[in-house]
Amino acid sequence: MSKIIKLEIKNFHGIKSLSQDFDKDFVCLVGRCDSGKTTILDAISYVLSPSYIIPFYDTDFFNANIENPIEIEATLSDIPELLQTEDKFGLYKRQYNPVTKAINDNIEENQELLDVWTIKLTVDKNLDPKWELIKTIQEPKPITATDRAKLNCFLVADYVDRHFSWNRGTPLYQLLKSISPDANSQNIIIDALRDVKSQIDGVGFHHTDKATSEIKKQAAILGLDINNAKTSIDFKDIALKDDKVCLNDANNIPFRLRGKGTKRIVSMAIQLALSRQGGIVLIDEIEQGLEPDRIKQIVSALKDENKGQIFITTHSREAIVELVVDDLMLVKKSDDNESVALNPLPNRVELQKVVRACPEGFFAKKVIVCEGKTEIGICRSLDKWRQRNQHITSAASKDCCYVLGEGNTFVERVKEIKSCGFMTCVFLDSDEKVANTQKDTLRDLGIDVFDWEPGNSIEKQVFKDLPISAIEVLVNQQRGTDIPHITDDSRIVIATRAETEKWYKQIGKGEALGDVIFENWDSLKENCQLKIKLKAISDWIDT
Amino acid sequence: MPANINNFVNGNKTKIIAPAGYGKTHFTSDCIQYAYEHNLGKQLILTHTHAGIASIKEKLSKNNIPVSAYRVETICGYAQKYVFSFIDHSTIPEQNSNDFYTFIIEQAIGLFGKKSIQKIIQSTYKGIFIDEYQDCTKNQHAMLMKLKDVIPLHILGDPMQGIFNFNDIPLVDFNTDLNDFDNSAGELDIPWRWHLEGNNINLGNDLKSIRQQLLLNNNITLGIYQNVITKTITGTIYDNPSYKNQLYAALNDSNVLLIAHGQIDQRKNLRRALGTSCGIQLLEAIDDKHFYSIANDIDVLLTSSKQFSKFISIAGKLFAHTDINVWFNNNGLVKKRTQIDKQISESILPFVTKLLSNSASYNDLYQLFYKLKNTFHFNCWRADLLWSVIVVLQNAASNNIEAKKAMYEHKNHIRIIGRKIYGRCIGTTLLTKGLEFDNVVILDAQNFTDKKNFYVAITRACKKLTIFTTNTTLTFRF
Repeated sequence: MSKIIKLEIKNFHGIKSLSQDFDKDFVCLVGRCDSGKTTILDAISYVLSPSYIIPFYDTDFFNANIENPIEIEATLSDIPELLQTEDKFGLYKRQYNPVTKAINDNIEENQELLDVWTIKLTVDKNLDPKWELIKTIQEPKPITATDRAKLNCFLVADYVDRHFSWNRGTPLYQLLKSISPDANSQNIIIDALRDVKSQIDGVGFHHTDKATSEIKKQAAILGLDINNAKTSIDFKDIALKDDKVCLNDANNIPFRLRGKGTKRIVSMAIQLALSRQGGIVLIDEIEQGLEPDRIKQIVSALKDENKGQIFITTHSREAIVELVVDDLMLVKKSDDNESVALNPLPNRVELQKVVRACPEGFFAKKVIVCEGKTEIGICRSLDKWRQRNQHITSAASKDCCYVLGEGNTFVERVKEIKSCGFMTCVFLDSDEKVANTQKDTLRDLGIDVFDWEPGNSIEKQVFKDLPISAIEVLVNQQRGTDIPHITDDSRIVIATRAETEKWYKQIGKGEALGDVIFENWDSLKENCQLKIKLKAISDWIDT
Repeated sequence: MPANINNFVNGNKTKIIAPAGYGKTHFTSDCIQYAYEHNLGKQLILTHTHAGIASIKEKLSKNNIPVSAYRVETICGYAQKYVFSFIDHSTIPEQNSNDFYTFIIEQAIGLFGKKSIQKIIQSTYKGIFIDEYQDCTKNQHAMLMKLKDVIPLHILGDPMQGIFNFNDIPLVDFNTDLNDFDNSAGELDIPWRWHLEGNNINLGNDLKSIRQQLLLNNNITLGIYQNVITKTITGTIYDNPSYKNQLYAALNDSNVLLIAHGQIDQRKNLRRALGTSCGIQLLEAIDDKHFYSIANDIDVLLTSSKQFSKFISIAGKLFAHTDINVWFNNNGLVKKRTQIDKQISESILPFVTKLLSNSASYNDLYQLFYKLKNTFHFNCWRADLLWSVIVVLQNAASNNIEAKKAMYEHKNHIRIIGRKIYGRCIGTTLLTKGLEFDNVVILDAQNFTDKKNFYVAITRACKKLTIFTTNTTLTFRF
């Protein structure tokens, strides 16, 4: 059923231009905040919206510049049969070449080509949205809200309350229509409402009779006969409309009043039922209001049960770990902030492992791949120091994250992460055998390498460069370590013990080590490697 | 064998012989109703003319069949819809050019052969009925046959009515081109039209007998059909007063069609010979070339430095020369003596003055021709041509376009809305095909060379048929 094959966005929210082809039924958009993920889902939900009208504001335009119209084009394949007719979308059929990704309006006899239709939403400065079928050789043809509703596209977002009522344009209504196509469901709901109203009208309000009869008398004196007047409800302010009929829980409390997580799950359940009829389901920030185990379960259920096309966005490591790389697309803004690109991740086993091992890296723009837990700890401490001291900003605010790349596959991980288009650096020892030999290869790939003097592990470098007073603090932190008098000569001995006794091979301990380093930052010699390299990492975060 | 709706509608490729007047529209409506009641899905009905669309739609709505159950279109209109949707518009010839329709059908042949296009038709309709199939050109036939294995096709037609169209484009041969179509639905065999209240049921039966003889390629001996009035004559109406008087008598009816042979000029002469008092109108082919040539003459006139003499020449094509000479001479208006004549003459003086000074406009010509017809009561033998010129001049003036363009638009408009033809008319078989008249008079029946034209001519009559012929036994070469 309906699938988005190509999406083009111009001048909408934070996206000046985007053009992306899709060949998947399940797409998970991953990227930093403000990279445009939600805008992409909004764009899809707007261009395929079942609403008669969507309120647009000047702020919906890119840079609030209303001179350039908002244009959203969705090219769809496999639209419902009843939209493929001559009087609906039929004559606007186009063909899409999955290999060249070209859309052609001259229909050819070629099995490789897909039949597609392009729907365009245009909003100019008058703020009136206009939905049309487009094609180069013909004038655009307007599309009614009713026909757009048949595409079954719905967005699960924060404002899902209306998803629980049965009126036109809601997923419940679409579900009712696709499951019982013969029933004119609009009438079912309205008819039920009319029954309710006639019951109320029939009840009568006898306790008002006395007062009413008094009024009747006075009216008669004034020459008006209102003897048939009676009391009932004025429906003006409580108009019984189909949007008042909604899904309630067992205690007859509308679902819209339940907690966020429950609401989202019920909403997703409705969408899932719809997607089984072949619809397009959009879920923004799937993890919202959900526990980690529930995120995993929902993500895998959505994927397995999908009969239509599903787009989700997420900031959750649980979500992307549950998926395969093939499902993921990285959303990235260009440096000039004007265009947004969606990069599908290459479907490779190696990359899959990296995603499972360090999912955090895939939510950033810059990734520091740390060789061990010690380095991670030091990065944490560096981050705190940055915020405390000179920089104010955290690594996260610079779209940078640090991930653990430990193990034999360290170099492979780094390469995979780099291949996904992230700005990448490595933070590692200089005594590590495998990685050491490949530093030049990494540099050739454009990966920045932050390491120590040749042969030095992090412990050796730290104990070499820290002032004696700081070393005493570190030594005192190690219970049962008895090194009475610390001189420059004992630096190497302590460093070796720290290595063999694994003083810092945990993130927390690495962080504590880092804390001591940064407490002594000012007393570090300017030309020592420890200061030079940590400074370089901090600068790299700022680039 | 009576027609079997079940076989006709349920087969994938079916045909049925449906002569004019044998309840074809009724039968089509019954088929659509059958398809609707059996939930067979939406049906497409294709026919040739807008008049055909109107009559089918009228029948279907009278029978309360919901409009969602069917769609009616012309074959050309349907092909155009696809060509304009899928072919680059810059390659499509001008709509009023000669090769427009050929182009449309040829392109549609290509389109209808493609699976992606076929899918649209299949999504929209579950069956196609094609009316008057005998009128399809070979090209239209090729186009429709692209769909024969894609969607059920049900063909209605009458090989006896397949007469050549205006441009002599070859037509489908109902007998040889549709061999893979199942004819087990039988044929429509009751001349219902003549059963209608007021019509001549016996004439209907005689026409059916003649039809059977024609199908067997036999000669027609007119004398044996008692309900056909045969007038054996000699000479022509121009030289035989008795012939002319008998013709006047035969035409003495408020709804009568006179079928004559020959080109428009011959019919114009015939019309003139019948005289002003006869009050009978000449039917014109919608696309007769004179319509366009006279519009062109008008456009040339306006840029000419001899506007007045060109005007006289155009007027000569529309009005009787004797009338023109009474009012105009080479220098303009003829001087009149009586007060009334002077007044009438003065009413067109401003326009004539403009023509003489070569400064006339479309509006001036419109006023002039309008007055010549309605105030001067000039005799006109081609009323349709004159009427078209007046409409076109008015449109050219108000829409600020050339007369030739206005004429194309006018003709397209007529093609779409169809024209109402009633009363007293002179026409040919080709022009009157599909029309019905109470009373039909056929001139010079001995001149028919092919049986189909003859059959179409005689079956126009509902109540009375009069045939003038030099020979009571008619033989046909084709």
